Amino acid sequence: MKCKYSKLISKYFDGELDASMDKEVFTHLYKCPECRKQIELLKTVKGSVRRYEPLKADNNFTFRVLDEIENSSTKGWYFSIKPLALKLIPALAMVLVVLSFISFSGLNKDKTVSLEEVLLASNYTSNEEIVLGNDNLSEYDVFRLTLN
Amino acid sequence: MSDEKQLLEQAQLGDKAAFGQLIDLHKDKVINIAYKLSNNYEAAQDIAQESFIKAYTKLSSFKKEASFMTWLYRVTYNTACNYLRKNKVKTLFLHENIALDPKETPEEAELKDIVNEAVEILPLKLKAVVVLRDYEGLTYKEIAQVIKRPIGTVESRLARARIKLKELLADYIKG
Repeated sequence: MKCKYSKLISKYFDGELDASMDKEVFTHLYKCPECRKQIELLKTVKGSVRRYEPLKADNNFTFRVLDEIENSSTKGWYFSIKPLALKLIPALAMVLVVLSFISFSGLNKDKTVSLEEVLLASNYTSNEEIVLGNDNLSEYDVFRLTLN
Repeated sequence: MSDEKQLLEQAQLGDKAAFGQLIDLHKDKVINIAYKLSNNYEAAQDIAQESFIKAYTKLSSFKKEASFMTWLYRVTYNTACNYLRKNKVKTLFLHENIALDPKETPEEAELKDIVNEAVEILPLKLKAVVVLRDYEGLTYKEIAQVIKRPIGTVESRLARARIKLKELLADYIKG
């Protein structure tokens, strides 16, 4: 069974428990080999990670960064608005599409066509044939249309 | 420390020379943390450079709630996360910068290599808290400020990282 203190070991090792809890875990460690093993692992990890010599930045690092800052500020407004512009391009494209659709529909708005013209221009269905083929619809035609 | 405060105030007013001195003070720390997160020297150089450029442009947003170093760690951590998300970084272990300990047996040295490689293959979120805690010695509160998450998240990520390390090292560490 897992020890109830095992969740606290990481915090205990880092010295992040409050004083009373810290004392409680400390006392517990005397009688719990499982928690002691966990502490040993943490010590091994900590002991090993400190083993690498710190890397040093090269001598020109600072000048390189300052040059880069200088370049980006002299590139001026284009670079400051570039991220925003990149975000706006798809939105502007969408607006253009919508506007052109609206204006196209507006151009054709006033043109009127009769139902007959529309139906004759297309491949009409049997229902349309009934309507177009008869100036006067019989009760039977109406009944057929209703069923269709 | 007061020198740093003064440099910071000057840099916030746009003094690039003052910012240059701040870079000199912190560049090694930033490169090391970038290296530990990326495991690649070239990537670490890029991340460090980008972090300082970002820091300069965001300097006015630094509110002194945390120390400048903690804030700089946060900028570096965010830059590293973005960089590693965008670029496929090849992990390279710099064995030449291993600090040799004359008292160390070959077995101990091997174990340390294994531990380091286990830390390096942890997922970035878990590795970051281990690096900030065990390499840099930050407190939980400082780590929370760096990763911009509550202290509880730091605790749980560290605990998860350590469980993962325990599993990875189960065959190598005697119980």
